[in-house]
Amino acid sequence: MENNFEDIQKLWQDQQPVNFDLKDLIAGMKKTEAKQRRELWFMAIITPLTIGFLFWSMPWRESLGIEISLYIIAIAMIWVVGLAIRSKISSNDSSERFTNSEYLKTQIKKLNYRYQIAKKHMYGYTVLLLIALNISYFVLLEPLETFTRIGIHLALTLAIATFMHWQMKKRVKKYDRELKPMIEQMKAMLAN
Amino acid sequence: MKPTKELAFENLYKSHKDKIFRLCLGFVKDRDLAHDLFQEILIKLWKHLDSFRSESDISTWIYRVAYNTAISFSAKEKRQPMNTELPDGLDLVDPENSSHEKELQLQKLYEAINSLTETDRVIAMLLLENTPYKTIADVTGITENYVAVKVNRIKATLTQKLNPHGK
Repeated sequence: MENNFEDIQKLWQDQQPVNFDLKDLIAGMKKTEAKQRRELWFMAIITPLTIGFLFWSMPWRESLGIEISLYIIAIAMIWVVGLAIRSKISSNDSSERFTNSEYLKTQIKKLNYRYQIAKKHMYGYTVLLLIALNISYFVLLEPLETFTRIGIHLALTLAIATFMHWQMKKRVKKYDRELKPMIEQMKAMLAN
Repeated sequence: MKPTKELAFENLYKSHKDKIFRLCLGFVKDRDLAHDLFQEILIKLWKHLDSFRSESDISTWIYRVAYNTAISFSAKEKRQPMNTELPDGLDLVDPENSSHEKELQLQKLYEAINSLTETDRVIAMLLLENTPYKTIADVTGITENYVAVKVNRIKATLTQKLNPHGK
């Protein structure tokens, strides 16, 4: 058997790979690294900029209600960006540190976490957003009649809730198609 | 002059590219996918090269990155039906040594590797590269003793599938 296996090893090792243009590859990888750095910077900068713009453009000094709603929006945005950054740059990607089984476990955890963001956390974000917007509208619509105000509040809440629910359902469906089979496959690999 | 990271990466590429590419061929079903996987592994190696600490063996480190990337890649690919046949026109062997018999044997080998469980497949490919048991244990996360047990079984399976009549 040993001799036969040595022949198999020879057969395996005799395969010749196609040579890659290493220079191009390194240049491409450097470009990708720079792009990823830019994306992270963008993610880190866009939130404070948006929050700053909201505080600059809204009359928050004149109304406690608007001030509170801006704080709620700021907290919600920071929370969601935190979740996104955590899922992008978490240590779960450190494939060099893990054995195969540890790596599979962390990958399953990571994929489930992305599911959780779409299934659960985004609803939390929507609720915070609706609270903040309704507080702001409550203050801004003060001069209008009660009936009109209630109508606008209901329409706004319904429109945002429906849109966000539709977006999240779409995302979960996509994950069901793409992530679920991967999670199941990885679980099966772990079981072997 | 080239930066240190680039030089280190070039050395790593030169010394391990063949092994990495062979493992790609062992994990995915066609040449294009093998190329994609190969490139993905190289990108990960490049990305994590700064975090490599010289107290561990470079080969173990490379294998870990390569096999873990291949496992994820293979999980993604397995959403589609598996095809273990060697695709047409797959120029795997050195043209000088190319022969129909060799290609058939290689096809059988791929089918045999694909029939193994994921861990066994990793072990089989490391074994085909003459990797020490200690490194196999470090990469897969199972004990050296258990590696030895699995190795005997894998060797027997592969040998039997390639030589069903014990020739």
